[in-house]
Amino acid sequence: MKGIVRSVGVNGINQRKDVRIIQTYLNSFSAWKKKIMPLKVDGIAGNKTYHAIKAFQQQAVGMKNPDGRIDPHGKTFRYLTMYISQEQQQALETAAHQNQRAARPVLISSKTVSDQTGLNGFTVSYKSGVLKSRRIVSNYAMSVIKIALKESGMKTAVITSTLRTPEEQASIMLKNAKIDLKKQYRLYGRGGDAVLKIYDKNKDKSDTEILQLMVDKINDLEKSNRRVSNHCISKNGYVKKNIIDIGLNSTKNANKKFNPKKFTKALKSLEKEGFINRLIDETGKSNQCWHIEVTPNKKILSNYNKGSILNQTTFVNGAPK
Amino acid sequence: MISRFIFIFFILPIACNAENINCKYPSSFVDEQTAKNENIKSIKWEKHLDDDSGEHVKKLSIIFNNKDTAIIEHKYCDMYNFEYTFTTKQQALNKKDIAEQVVYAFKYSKIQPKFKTKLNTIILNALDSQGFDAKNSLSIGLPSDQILYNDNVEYGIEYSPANSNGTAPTLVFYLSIGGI
Repeated sequence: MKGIVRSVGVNGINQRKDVRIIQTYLNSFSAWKKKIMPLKVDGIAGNKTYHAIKAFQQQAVGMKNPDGRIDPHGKTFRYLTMYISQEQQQALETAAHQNQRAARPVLISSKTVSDQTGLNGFTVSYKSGVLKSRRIVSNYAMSVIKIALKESGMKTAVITSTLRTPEEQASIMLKNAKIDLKKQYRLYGRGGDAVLKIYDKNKDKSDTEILQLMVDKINDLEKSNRRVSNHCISKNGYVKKNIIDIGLNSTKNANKKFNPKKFTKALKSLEKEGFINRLIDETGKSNQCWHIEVTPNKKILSNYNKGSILNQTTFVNGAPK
Repeated sequence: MISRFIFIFFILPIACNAENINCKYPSSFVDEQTAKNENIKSIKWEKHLDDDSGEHVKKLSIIFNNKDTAIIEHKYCDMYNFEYTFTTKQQALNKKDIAEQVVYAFKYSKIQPKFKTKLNTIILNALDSQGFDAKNSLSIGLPSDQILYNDNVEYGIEYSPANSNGTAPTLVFYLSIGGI
């Protein structure tokens, strides 16, 4: 099973074999959405094929302005194959390559979609080092991450960091400040620098005393809505806003199909639509993670890509109806 | 000969501290441009390395025609820190003055993240939510989820009113980008 090699549709390369594959897949959906008219599988990309692609993009992908083009690893192709098993894809593509009718055509129905839709096959787990008391990411945020997984064709995401208490934050800062204070000053913003100053001015005191002074400073800063680190927030604050790092390497190791670019793109799309408050792509930094901030139930998940087969969201696990 | 020895072994290593660190932002990241505003009477640039961190510091002091003053500080190496300190001859600053000053200051920031809401509105909302009173000092962090930028951004304002010692009202706007 290889999928298409070149683009198909409006302004596409439209190699015959690829067009036949697309026509075969589109026909699978014609029983589900009447606007996706059945096509003759002839390998010719004409107006009927263009219209069927656009209808599919509109009806099933949820694209408001369909471009009528399908790229080999693009979103439309992912949606075309989302509800077709690997064995079925193999059979359909082989038949299309040999210019034959598939022995068993696949017909996607509303039932197929509703049976397989939602986020059941996707996993968001915690890295083993994350303490049990810190495994407090809301179902809502988990569902948001699962949508990103589904959009990107991946199955699993691994959370490497959540909440950090002021005590833990101060402890990390104290340890690192003792090793190289200058470096720590260069890494923290104004809030962090204020906490490092406490260490700097109280070096003659015991570690316990310094630690408590640093914790006090962190708590003071939080009172005026200032944070030393993105993760350093009280438990009450965390319930209101989930702060999550998804590890690049842990997630890579947990997936057979790993596509960081598509995952980033999916997270960006969720941020743009307001399901993620904030996304920082730190995969290129030493942290090697996607940092996301999610306000639980800020926006009802069923509004995401409304009309798309990706997410018949009444089926989304744990999401508010 | 002795003076050359002192220069090479003592002064040179200090002067090159930030460069030796291999900064993400080199010294040339901030160029010492002339501030353009018809209300400016004089300006002065200074540069040095920060004692605590060894970061590059470039500072622009401005005296306005009405004798108000501003100091714009860029401190950078692995991350970029921008700070604007405005001192006025007025009795106090009101909410509108503060928002205007911050919007003006932001133009000088070398990195310009985008905001989901207008910066002016963010400031006014934050001041309202804190029950701003021009007679009292205030220090607030501004909401990070209003920022559209692919890196850590911490920003906020501090306000100190005039006091009986003759200290003038002062506003600080800061912005830290990058880091952890």
